[in-house]
Amino acid sequence: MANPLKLEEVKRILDLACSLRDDVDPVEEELEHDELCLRLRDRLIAAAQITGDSLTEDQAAAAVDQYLDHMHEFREPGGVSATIARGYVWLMTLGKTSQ
Amino acid sequence: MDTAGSFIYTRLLVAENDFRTQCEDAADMQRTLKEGIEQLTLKRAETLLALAQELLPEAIADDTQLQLGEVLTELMQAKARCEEDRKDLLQQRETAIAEIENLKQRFADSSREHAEFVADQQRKQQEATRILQNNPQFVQQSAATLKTQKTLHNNELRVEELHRQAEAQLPAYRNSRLFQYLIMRRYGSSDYEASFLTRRMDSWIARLIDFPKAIRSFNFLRTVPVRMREEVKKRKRDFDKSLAELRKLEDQVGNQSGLRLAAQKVSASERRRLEVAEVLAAAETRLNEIEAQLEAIESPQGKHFAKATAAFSEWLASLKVSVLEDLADETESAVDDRLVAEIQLCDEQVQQAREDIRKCEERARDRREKMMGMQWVLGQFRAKHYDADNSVFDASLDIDTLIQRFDDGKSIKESLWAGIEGRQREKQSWSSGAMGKVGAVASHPTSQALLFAVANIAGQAAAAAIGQRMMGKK
Repeated sequence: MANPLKLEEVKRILDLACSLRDDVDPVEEELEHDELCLRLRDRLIAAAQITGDSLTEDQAAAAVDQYLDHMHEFREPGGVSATIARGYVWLMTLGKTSQ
Repeated sequence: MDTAGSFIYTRLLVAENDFRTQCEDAADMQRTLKEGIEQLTLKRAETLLALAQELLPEAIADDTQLQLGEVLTELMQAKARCEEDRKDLLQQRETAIAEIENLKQRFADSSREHAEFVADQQRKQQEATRILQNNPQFVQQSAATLKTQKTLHNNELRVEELHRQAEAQLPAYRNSRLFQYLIMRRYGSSDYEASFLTRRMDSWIARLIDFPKAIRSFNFLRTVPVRMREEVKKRKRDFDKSLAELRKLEDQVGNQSGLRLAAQKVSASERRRLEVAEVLAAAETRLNEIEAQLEAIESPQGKHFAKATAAFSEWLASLKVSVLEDLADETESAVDDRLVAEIQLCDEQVQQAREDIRKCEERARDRREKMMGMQWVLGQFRAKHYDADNSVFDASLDIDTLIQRFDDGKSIKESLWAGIEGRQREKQSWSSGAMGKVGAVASHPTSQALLFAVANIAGQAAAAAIGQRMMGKK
């Protein structure tokens, strides 16, 4: 069982993923999903070595899987800002409807 | 050391035969006991009549004896009719048994013939494999096909996974007011138009929900799985084309080595074998029906006996046995006491015989059920080709213990079959039995040569994977 993914590790993966995804057709990329996972894992291990962290292959693989599984997830933020934003959206939608 | 399928088959046949013999023995015993009861009943009636004449000569009119005569005649007629029907059924039974024996022989012959064709096919298969392995084009193409097959399988899995992911994650985007608002405003596109203040507010919301990433993911989830599915379909079509090319090559080699003809012979002999197995199963069912009819006709509830025995019982009741017994007690004559003792003895013997008949009936029913269960197992065995030459069973299969457990009622036919099937192993050969799964997939008879050659080139496991995949595709 791999350790829970640390925030720093996620950020690293995000950066790596973005760098790998540039100019690549997502369909092609998804059809070579296993290769993508392997490349991300290797990059993550390399990045961890540079920063002096120790990361096993299993931990890196688990971190990659977790990241890729949740990469496209969306969750509306909470808090005061979001409430104000929803109020604004409501007003704008109302205005548009009443026009 | 493996156990040959033919050995297991023989053990099952012997067990089925044993059950049949036991069933027949129980039925014979029943018949003997019933005949004994008939004799005892007649004796009892005669003794009863003698007792009545001894004690109540005036009460026993001639018509009572006349009545007894009529009743007995009716009983005898019923027995004669029953015997007639029994003879007819016994004849049918003999015919059915002879037919079954004949069919079993035919089945054994067709199995032998099938095994010969399979052996011939294997030889041709090896020849075809040798030719294919020496063909560089085939070696290259088959290796590529294997690789593509595996990739396609992974692609299909990924498409399904992504579809599931999209189904799970898209509702969050669709239910988000903030995200939907920005979409509605066409925020981020060239069509987006808004006043300065609105622009500022919209930008603020976009930052709040990380709109650039969200819209990218939204579009990804909406479009990519669908596009992937189309791409995989296209790749599959390409794969089918390359497979067709391989098959052409395989056809050529199949004709060259005579494999095609050999495979057709195997296929035809297999069909014949299965046809005989079906006819055999039907004949066994017919025999079971005849035996059930035989049992029914001899039972007290049988159509001929029911009426006659009812009349006989009525007549006995009219003699008022208890009254006669009481009178016999009162008199000093030893004759009537002896007659009463004889009647009582008859009653006891009849009672005992009835109890024995009940046990025999139970035994016969149990043996018949076991026999039919064994016939079912044998049918499964034949249908699965487990009696073929290439069929072997794990050494851990203790067939005698399994049969004994079934015999003792500790297991049912399904568990007996599961115990046998679970230990079945096939020799590595290319008979239709061994390659049943792949053979069912491959559309023409020489397809196994291709798979065999592929297996030799790229490893057995990979070929098994191809077989499984092709089956899934179909």
